[in-house]
Amino acid sequence: MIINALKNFFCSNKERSETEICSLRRSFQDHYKSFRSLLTANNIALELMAEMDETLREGQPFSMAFVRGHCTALTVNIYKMIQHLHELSNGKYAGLARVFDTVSEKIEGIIARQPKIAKGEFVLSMAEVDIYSTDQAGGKMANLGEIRNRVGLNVPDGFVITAAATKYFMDSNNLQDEINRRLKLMDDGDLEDLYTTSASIQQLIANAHLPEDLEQLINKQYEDLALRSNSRVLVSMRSSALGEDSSSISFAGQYRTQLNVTDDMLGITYKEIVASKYKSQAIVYRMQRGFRHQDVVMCVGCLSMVDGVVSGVMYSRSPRDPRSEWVIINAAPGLAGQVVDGRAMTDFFRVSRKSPFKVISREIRTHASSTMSDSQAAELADIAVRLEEHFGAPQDIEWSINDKGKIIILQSRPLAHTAAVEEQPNNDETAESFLAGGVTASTGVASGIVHIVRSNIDLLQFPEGAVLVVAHPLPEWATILNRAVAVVSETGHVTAHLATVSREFGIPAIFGIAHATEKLKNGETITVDALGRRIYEGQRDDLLKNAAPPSNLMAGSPVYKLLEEVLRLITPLNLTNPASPYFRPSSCETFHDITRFCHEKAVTEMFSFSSRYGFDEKGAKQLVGDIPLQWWVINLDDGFREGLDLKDKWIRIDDIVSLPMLAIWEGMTAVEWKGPPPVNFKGFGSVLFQSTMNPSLDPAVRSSMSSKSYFLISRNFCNLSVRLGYHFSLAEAHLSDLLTENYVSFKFNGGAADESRRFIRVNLIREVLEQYDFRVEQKADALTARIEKKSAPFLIERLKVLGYLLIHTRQIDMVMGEQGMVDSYRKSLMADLEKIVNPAKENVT
Amino acid sequence: MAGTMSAQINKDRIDANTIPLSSILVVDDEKEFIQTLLKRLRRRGLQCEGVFSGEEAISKISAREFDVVLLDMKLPDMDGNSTLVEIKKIRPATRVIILTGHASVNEGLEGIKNGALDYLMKPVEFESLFEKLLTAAGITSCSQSSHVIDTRK
Repeated sequence: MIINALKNFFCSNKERSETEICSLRRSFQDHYKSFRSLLTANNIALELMAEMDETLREGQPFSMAFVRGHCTALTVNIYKMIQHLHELSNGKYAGLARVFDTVSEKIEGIIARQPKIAKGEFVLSMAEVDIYSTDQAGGKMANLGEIRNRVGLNVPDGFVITAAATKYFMDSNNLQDEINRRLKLMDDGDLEDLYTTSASIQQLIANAHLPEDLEQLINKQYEDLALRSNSRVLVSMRSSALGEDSSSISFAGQYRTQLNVTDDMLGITYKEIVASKYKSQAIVYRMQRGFRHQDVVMCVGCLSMVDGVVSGVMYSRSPRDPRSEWVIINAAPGLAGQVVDGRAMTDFFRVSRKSPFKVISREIRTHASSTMSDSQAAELADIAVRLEEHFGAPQDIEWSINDKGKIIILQSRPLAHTAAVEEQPNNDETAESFLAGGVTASTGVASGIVHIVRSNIDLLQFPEGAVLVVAHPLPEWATILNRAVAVVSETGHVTAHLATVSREFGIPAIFGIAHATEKLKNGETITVDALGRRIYEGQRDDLLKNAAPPSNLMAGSPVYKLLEEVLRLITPLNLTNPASPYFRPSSCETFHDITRFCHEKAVTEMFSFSSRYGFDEKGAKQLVGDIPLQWWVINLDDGFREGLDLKDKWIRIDDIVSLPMLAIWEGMTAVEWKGPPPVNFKGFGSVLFQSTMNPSLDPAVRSSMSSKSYFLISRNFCNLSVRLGYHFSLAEAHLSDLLTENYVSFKFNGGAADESRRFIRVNLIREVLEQYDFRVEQKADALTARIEKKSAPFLIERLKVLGYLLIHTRQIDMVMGEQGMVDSYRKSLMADLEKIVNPAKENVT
Repeated sequence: MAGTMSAQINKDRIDANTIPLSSILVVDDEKEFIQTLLKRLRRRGLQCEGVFSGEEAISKISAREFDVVLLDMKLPDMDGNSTLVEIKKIRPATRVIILTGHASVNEGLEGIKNGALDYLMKPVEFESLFEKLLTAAGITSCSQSSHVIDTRK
């Protein structure tokens, strides 16, 4: 049959021999195959681009693995397109390979970029550290050095093991490649896998060999410290990661701190702290906040232990109000660790920021008497104000008072204004709430089922979207904060690490609700209103509807910026006008340009196949008859009826035997097109397929583009591309007796004026398609719909739906402003479809 | 009131005299891990030994009684849960804490069913492990031990 078709196809020319026809047939089929493969690669590439674009806009956490994976898949598909175009055009567009190499190398360069690690000393004493040593000592220790050496306050004596030392340690054991390999294999949705990978990486680092020269340097620093202190002091060893402690990113309490370290354990403890970069909660935190693991480098501070009699955390201003005129101090007996790990109850002071730093209010909760005197509170407030002035921003300060009454600063960092809530006295309780009280550790409203975590086994079984209920807000629970919708704890307060991380992740949290683990039952649904400090039974939609939309956790993070940077090489479209002399390979700057160019040229090559072999110049025939708009048909194989006069430039629908095209056509013409204004093709296209990628496009350019809509057909195949300038939409189908080869796919780009209208339309189309069994994926305003492996009669009915939608969704433009109109439009649309489509033709398998 | 506590804080190890001698057996195939852990436990005044396999653990426990066994789940010769069952057969009163690098709900649940006291995941902070060991050994009650740890942090 194909031979016959081809005979007809080429009959306008002089007589050809059977062998000539045979080789032409093969040649055509190769072209056809390349063309279809190119279209497939094109579709995948556009989908990947839309997905990356949407991910950036949506603000859901994504990892480097996402960026790397998508870039790789995209690169492969762009490469395929170039190869297929090469086959189609006999190597006409060799320049594309150069552009491709340049762009993909740039992308690779961005993805593989290594952090710069400052060269220099492996160990620095606190006297040598200040804010300018941040790249060597990490933010925490650099700030502490600054406080000691430039502000002149008391900090613990000691030294810092620098980023250069950690790099040296990791490199000399060749650890990073193995760590990356394990992280890549990890399924971060699987808690067991997360914990197991985290444990194995930490053990790998802890068991690695500490180079002798580094160990000697550390020991030498310790001996100097012991000399200065006149005793073999115990030290606390703390992480001070590069990139930590920026104002909105806290890295709160993720890494290891080891207290009371003796001199013989320095090396082992150092390795454990370096390893704690891979604690499970740190891995989750970085993914959630968009940090690349490799960009975080551990520096380790070794500071002599402080005999803390009273310790705590203070804020130089209220975290809720940057203009507040008071300092907030939380204090508890003992060392500071318990205040930040959320276990201790604290006394609370509000102290004036102006000399003589009067105590404005206090709440004593630790013991019967106060933890410290008013004069100590005043001294602390004075320090808070000085530190804020020195660093130029409100500060979050950890401090201790030793047995000699001396104030020692352990840490100071910019105060995060992430909607932290100051402690308020408890409101009166209403009868309707199930539980009430405590403090708002993080605002918001959320609903989910209760999951009480008492042991690690409870932890490992934590369901996605549950409310985490615990006795104490320990920092290690942060590992599951990306799965929890809210946190309820029996103890703890706003300064706990878990509160900080909850605020950063935008998860409501109430701490200090007595007996929560007894009163709440696993599996019951509750609604947590953190600001009101109340827990309600069931799902309370009235409260939930007032909840603030989630914020974009990723915005501005390193991985976010990296994706942005990569997308600048991928999505912008510079090649908009195929008629322009600049529409050529050397003008391609991005992957989008390359896809656009390849698609355009591939279609042209297919069209010109016939002309190259000496028949009818255009290859495309215009459909004639009483039909709306202008349509062109290209016969790829056996899509025209036999015996048709191929010299004709026109074709009637009766001459077409392509099953899928006829089905689409039936849908297009079944109901008369009523919508004013009278539509020519340009109008139709510009409204229906206006690009969103380049909204600033000059309308004059657009109107000068003479785009056409083409059906590419064979008996069993149809590819309808409705194109306009730089964007296009596709319906494609293959129908045969083999179910596995059958499919209908549809791509629709929203592309109307403003975003909300665009979404209303895409949503409506989605709704209709889903009703007719399409599997729909929506990426921003682009929609992809598919049905695969169904019988031809079943698919033919679905193609009618597509045909109808292509013509009639035009009308939505006029109504999509108002929801009521949309509803009535939906009704008429569904009524039409019911008449056209025969739903009884169910799938026969 | 806080002043009275300061005397106890930061005097490094808990004075060996204040903790009644108790014995801990650490079963783990990671040599470095055992060495570091034993060093830290001894420094805090606990008597402890380490073995690398399930067989060794069982023969140790047959020979003498330990207060607490810290048991890894991946051992070279037998799996942790069968080791646990054997230990409990020989000495039902021995308290066993699972400490594993391979997090698994099923393994953990089975362990608890077989009589394990707790299920910990590596790496565990030494202070919190120490607290659990003291509690398990009956040296401190839950509340006392957490109090000790709090003031030492």
